[in-house]
Amino acid sequence: MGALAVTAFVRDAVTLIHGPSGCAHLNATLFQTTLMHQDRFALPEILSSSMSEQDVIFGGEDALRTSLDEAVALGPDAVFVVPTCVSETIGDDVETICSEYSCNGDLPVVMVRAGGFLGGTFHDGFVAALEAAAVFAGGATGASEPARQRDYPVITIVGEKNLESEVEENYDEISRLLGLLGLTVSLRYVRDITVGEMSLLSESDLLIIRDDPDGRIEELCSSFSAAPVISGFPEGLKGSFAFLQSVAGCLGLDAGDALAAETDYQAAIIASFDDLKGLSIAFDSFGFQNATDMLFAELEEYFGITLAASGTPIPVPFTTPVGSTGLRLMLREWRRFL
Amino acid sequence: MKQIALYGKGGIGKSTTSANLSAALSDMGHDIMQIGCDPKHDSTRMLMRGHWIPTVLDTMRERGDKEIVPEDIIFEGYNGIRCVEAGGPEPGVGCAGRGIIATFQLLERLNALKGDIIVYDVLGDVVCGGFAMPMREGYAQEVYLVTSGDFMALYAANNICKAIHRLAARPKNKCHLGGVICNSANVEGEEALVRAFAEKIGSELTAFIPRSPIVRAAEVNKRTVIEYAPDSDQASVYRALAERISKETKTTIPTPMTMDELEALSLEYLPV
Repeated sequence: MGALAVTAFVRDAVTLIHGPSGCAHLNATLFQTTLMHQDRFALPEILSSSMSEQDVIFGGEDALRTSLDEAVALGPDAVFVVPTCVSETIGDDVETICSEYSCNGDLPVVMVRAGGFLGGTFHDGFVAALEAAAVFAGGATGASEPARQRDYPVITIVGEKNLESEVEENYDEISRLLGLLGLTVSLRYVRDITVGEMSLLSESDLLIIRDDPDGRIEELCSSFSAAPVISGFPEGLKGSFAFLQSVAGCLGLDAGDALAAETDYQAAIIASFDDLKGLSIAFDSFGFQNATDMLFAELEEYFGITLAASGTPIPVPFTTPVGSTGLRLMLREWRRFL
Repeated sequence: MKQIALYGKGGIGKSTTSANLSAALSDMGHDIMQIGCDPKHDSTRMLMRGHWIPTVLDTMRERGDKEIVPEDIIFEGYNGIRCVEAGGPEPGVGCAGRGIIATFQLLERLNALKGDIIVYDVLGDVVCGGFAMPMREGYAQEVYLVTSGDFMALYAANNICKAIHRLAARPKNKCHLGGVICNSANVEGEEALVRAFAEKIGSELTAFIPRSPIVRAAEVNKRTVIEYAPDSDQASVYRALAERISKETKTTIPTPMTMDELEALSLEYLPV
């Protein structure tokens, strides 16, 4: 599922799950329900090699080839092949077959190493798919192309969590903050982009990672770009200031005006939640898995909201709100409970 | 219906023993079915006078399992013995263990598992759950370990004991150890060694099959010893084995040896 959360968001690629049809069905169903929360009703192109018992007994490589032929016939610009527990257990040589197809035609066929039964988590599959797709950093053929001269910095967002409900709100917040510095996002790696667009990866001047709990995505970035990396979206008010300063520092810009504008923006947010001052809240054990003490300190410092066991129990978001706007959206939700 | 299975290290002589056992049992008047559970599908060849019968899995692959009828996969061999070969994938691909499971499911569906005695000839080491399936699902009710005095053959036999021992913990377990068959490799003192091994695991030596050139001669002539040289001493040994197995009622849950114990036992019987 983690791998699909990347490959299924390459618009002109097809993802082929090499395994029983149930594996693809389960994932497609999860995609459907998750994406409906984002008001997206078109399902990504996910195919299955529909391995049968005979394929398990005699090897599933023929089934994979047949399905690859079908995938190629759809006319995509790339095919991602994601093996499953079954095909990995019986030892199908998926990598060689992908190489054969890539060598025999112009269409790149890329294997994503994501055998869930090997103990991998969603995040492992997610990183594996980012690694696999990085083959396109030098262009669809894999050959490096000379960087073009541009009069603007190429800013790439890496590893957006395509299945989180707030993915677009978070992107909007990053765009807003970058906009304060006169910058725009050039590439979202990987969200609704094409295979061709991924060639821009190696030309990035700044890479902004959505979340990198173990540093593996930053390590991956260093494999295709020497550009500086910001290894997480900003959290809360102070995080937004720090983000602006980091971006400006990386690109040699003056952040003065941007910081002033953000100060005004945050002041308006703080004022809009005056009615919450003096209230206390209590969290259940679920949510805020990556929340920092800084965020709770901000709630108290700027909004006068304290944590207390006797406080109002409130539903909490799964991840820490991104930027000042994320905090505002969260507090609006809380207001209904407080 | 009695269902017996011969397990043991690859190349130890399971197929030769199984085929001669089936032939001898058949000569005693029993209705016999022999099922080879090994991708190399040579278990029944001597019963079929050298004819390689189509395997269940090849037939399934070519025609799908819906169209198969018993005549497609069950072939009559020596003295009316019904012969089946599970077969398997090409070396290096797929999952042979799953193939064994699919074979048994098909035979069940065709209501083909019948007769007085079914002899299962199963691939050497129990390499995965698929090859343990005949034991696990109640097909192999009496397991006979085929071994020689060779250390690795005993090691493999001991591993199969572990599988039987583990399965015994299941409430619906039907798998027990019938005994140990020593198929001689002409190792000095091996009968005593294998007998001691059998006793250590809580079982007994069912038969000692001496090494004989008759066996090779029979194979070259595409016959079992029972058919090729019925009056030979070797044929008498197989008949004695058949006699004993057909009447065997005493089975055990073996106690597998530790590696240290097995090594010590082999050392004890090492010729000076």
